Amino acid sequence: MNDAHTLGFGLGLRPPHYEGILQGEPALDWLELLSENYMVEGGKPLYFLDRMCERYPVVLHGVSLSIGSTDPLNRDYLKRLKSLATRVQPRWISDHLCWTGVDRLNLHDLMPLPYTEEALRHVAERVQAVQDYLGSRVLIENVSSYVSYAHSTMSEWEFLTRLTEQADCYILLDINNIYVSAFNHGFDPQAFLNGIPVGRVRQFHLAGHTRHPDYIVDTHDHAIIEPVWDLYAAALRRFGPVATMIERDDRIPPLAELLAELEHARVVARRVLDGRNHRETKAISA
Amino acid sequence: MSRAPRKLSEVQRAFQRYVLDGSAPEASGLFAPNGGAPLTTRMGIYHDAYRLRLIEALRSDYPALHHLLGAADFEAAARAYIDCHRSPYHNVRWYGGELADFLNTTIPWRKQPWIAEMARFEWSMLAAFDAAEAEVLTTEAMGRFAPAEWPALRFRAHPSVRLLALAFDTPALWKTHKAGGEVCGIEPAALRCDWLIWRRQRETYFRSLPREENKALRFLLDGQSFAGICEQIDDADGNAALRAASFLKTWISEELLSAAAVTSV
Repeated sequence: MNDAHTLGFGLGLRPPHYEGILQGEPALDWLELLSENYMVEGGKPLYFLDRMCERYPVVLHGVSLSIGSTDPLNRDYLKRLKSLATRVQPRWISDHLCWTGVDRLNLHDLMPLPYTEEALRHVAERVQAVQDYLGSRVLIENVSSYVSYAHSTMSEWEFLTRLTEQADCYILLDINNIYVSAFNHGFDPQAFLNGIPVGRVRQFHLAGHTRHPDYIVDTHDHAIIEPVWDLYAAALRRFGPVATMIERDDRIPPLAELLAELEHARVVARRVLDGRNHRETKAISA
Repeated sequence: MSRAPRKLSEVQRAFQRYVLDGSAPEASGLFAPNGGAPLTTRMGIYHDAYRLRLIEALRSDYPALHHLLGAADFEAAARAYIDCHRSPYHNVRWYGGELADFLNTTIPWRKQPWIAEMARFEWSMLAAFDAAEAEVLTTEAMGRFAPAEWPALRFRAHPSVRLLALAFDTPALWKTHKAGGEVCGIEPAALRCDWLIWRRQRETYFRSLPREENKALRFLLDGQSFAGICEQIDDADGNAALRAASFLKTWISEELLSAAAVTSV
């Protein structure tokens, strides 16, 4: 594993696209693999896993680390994750700033944390323990949320920033999740971006969601909407070139459709980054 | 309203109780009333998402059962299962493992035992699908044993091998579903039969097992030697050893076995 963070443009690998990717070898710079999908003993999942790793750089993305839970860290899960990492040699491993259950139960959902000093200390200690065990720094992703805790004492972006400082980890910034949470809680998404330190962001997620009249649910089952593309452009202006991928979990469209969406991400990035370089060149020569 | 907890462990416990039971009066005090939607709506997203995600996981594990019951009845069965089965698994892949037992013992489904049987069949197929990898025992490898060693040979089956005794022709119904045919509400024919499920290369297979072959294979899986297997086969015609060897040849060609060794257990 290394810290190279300009992987380019990738997709979240989903089983309906296994054959299409292997046969067509599309112009993907990298793939994000859902760790839990490959924590099985054998058969097709591991066969396709190995074939993908022969062709593309990969990163591992998990949903069950439960880094914010007050249960002890799940050593069995960590062991399986480390063994999977040894097999696929990912560029990095990521999971979410959340908890998924307590009392040895799993809600199979990304539950939000209160943003308090107690939670920060707790999560920072656990991120450090996980990194020590895995032997590499991890990326922690902001989740979409629908409730905010009355006793939070800081913003989500302040919590995330202080977490990266205390645990020396990186950030996976989900642009769609910022948009969803900003809508649901009534904060300014640009304030979120401005609050995140530039050097800590290693990856962007892009996705679609489901809009209801007075709230948004992060369903990952639609195309990316224009305001999320705008927020992606704003993120590129602030953070520069960062590995970008599209995450689709339901109503999975044909591969070609996702590749076209990814091509749009390339266009947005080129436009923003060319403009940014142009401005920087002008500033140097002025 | 109960006083809302502030300690992280208590906060998580209260929120989890609300998600699981919908009844944790202290949970609503945890959250700020900001945002456009009412708090009950926003908390309800977590309550509903928990169930919808598990229903989806069950639907994905049991596509033929879903088809057999129809969408509404499947959802009712899934919700009843979810109400009494919490997940201790870090991977949702394992959540549905007790569905067949649940359907077999719970009214109204237990009155139609082919419903639980379809669940048992599909879970066995899934178990074979991602069972551990193993070497495959070949005819060439068997050729390396001297004839005198055969009686003491014991075998290891491929980890994907499953034996099922079914009371209905559930596999035929499954095949109809797989081929895109209509199975909703159909009662399969009563047909007591033993079935073999296994994975060969990366594909999952099943076939019926004649009575004698089933008996021999069960003895092999129990760790009996080749001589022990022969002893269990009816030898009225004096050809028991020949028939056992014939079964073995079939199992090797079907890649059911992964190893053989001369042992004296």
